[in-house]
Formats: sequence, structure tokens, C-alpha cells
Amino acid sequence: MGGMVSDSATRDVIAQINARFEAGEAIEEMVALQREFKIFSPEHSLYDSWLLLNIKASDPRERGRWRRWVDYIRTVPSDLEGVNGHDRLVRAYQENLESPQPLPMHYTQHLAAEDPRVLVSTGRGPLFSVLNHVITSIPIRPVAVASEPAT
Amino acid sequence: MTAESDSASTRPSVSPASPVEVAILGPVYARIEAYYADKISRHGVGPRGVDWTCAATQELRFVQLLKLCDFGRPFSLNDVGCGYGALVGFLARRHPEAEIDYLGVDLSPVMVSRARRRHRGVHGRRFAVGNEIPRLADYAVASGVMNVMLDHPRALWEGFVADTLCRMHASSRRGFAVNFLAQESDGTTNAGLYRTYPSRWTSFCEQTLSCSVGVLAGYGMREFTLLARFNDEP
Repeated sequence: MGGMVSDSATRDVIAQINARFEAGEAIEEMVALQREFKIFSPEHSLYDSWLLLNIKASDPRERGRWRRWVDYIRTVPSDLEGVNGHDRLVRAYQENLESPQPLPMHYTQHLAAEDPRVLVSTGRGPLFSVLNHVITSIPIRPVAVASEPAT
Repeated sequence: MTAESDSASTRPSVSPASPVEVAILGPVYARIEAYYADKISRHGVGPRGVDWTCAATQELRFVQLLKLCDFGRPFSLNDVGCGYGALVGFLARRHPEAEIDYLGVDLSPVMVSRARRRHRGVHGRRFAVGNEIPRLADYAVASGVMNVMLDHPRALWEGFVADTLCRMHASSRRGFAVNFLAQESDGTTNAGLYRTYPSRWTSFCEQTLSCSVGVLAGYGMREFTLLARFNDEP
């Protein structure tokens, strides 16, 4: 993100992800979908899983960049030894959605300079939520000028 | 293919008569057709083109509806409000061994045109335009057909629902399945959407259509699916 995907597409996709995994009906739906279809599993790329949920850049011109970014996080380490960032995210989704007490999930980001790994934790949710969430955080590297929207 | 199908007749023991005059429902059909033609022209072939959030939720509904069917033997299936024929692809992936004589019916010529193009040459898969279900089949299913009420008065929309259920009943030999958005527990409504309680339509199917009805709920969505089987099922 940042240097790879435009700010607007990043905001767009993150908003979609967070809406589909928020507390209440949304996370209940995700749990049911995971139970029936095993959407998140090591057999599927995160990009394909999100696509099945119709989570994609609204701007078709940004979708190729988004896909390349998902591939890129396979090269990023995670907070689990020997597990890359992509697989860490897949595991976080799968484990939470298949757990006896699944939590809503929140997708956020942190500065790669502070921690270059994909991080998964449990904590208070975003904004006004007091519910525990599974929080997935992606390292980003701000650049002087973020990628221009694709043309 | 040994599943029985009949292009000319309806279920002999049930009158296909509609509870609402065709003249009254004609404009409703026209509005629905225009609505979905606009949807698919804007969103293309895909879940958004038929007003679903995504392929996964669309297919979770198919899972529920198809619990009606006995996959242990060949059968014929009418898919009412088939859209671009998403169910065809799902059947191929989920039940590749099943022998199914499929007919998709939709009010929208644009939808049916897309469906025919998408599934061209696939054996046992046909599509028809209109509100009539043109053949007798073992089962009928309808996904999402009752949900988008637009700005029709609720009573008129319930006439449309009843009429559709009667047509599904009249054109099915063994049973039919349909889903509805569930009424919110706090009674809130969404403009243009039809939400209801299971009892509203289980009683109709049991008393008016003499069916045995099962209700599926709690599958992760604020909705329910009715599985109506005929008491005189062959």
C-alpha cells in the first residue's frame, strides 16, 4: 500500500473489509459462510477469498495493483515465526471464524519502520466499540507521494 | 435423464388460478423487470447484477433452497427468477454428479439473454422469459424473488408473493422452496424491501396449498427459507 496502491483504493478496500467483519450481523454471516464454504484456508489466496466476498477495489483500474499488493505481502514477515504476512492473515481469519466464540475483526495498519511484520492481536475495537476484536495490522511504508490512482 | 418433466401441463390436482388478477399484477411484473434490467446493465453478470452482496452469500442461499431436493435420483428443477443463471454454475460445482433437468425462468429478457449466453451448450440447462412457469417439474426454487418490493403497497406485494407461490406450487410435482428477508426483531423496516415472519407464509402454504412446510433459519443471515413439500408427493 502507499507506494503500490493509491490512497483512495486503499481506503475503499479497507472500508469494505471492515464492514464485512464488523460486530453483529456481518460477523455472523462470515462465520456461516466459513462453515459452509471454507472461504479462508491455506488452499485459497487471500485475494480470491476476498473476491468471493466481492471485496475488491471499486475502481477496476486499481484491481491489478491490489492483487499485486496481496502477492507482495507473501514476502512480508509476520508475528509468527516462519509464517509470511499473507498466510498469517489467512490463518487469523480461519482460526477466528472457526473458533467457538468468533470475534468481530478489524483491519488496520502501522508503520513498517516501527515493526515490519504483519501483526495479529486481540483488543478493543475501533472508534466507539468496546467489544473485543481480532485486529490485523499491516506494515506500511509511507512515500513522499502515494501512488496516483491508476489511469 | 429419467426425471419427469412436462412442457404442457401443470400439477393436475391444483388449480393454477392466481389469487390476484393478472391485470393488477401486470404493472408489478413490469416494474420488477425494469428494475433488474437496470441492475444488470449497471453491474454486469455477477451477484451485484441481481442485488446480492457477493457470490458467497448468494450460494449460501442456494445451499438452503436445495435442501428440498433429493439428489439421490435424477430430477427436474424450475428456477424461478433465475437471473443470469447463477444456480447453474453452483449446481455444476456443488453437485457435479447430479442429473438435473434445469429450466430457469425470469421476467427480464436481458437476464435470460445473459443466462443463455453464459451457459450456452450446457446439456440439460434451458431458460425462458416471462412470469409463467412453462412446465411441470419435480421441484421449483426461487431465491430473492420476494425481497425487493420497490414502492409497491405491501398488500399488492403480498398478492404478488401469493401469486408466485401458487405458480410454483402448480408447476411442481414434489415441492418448492423460497426465501424471505426476516422481519427485524425491533420492527424496523428498510425502504423498498419486503420483510416478513415465517408464519405469514407457512400458514398460506399449509392451508391454501396443502403443503407440509419446513422453515430453515439461523444460517447466518437475517432471513429464512421455506421448504414446501406436497402431502401427496409421488
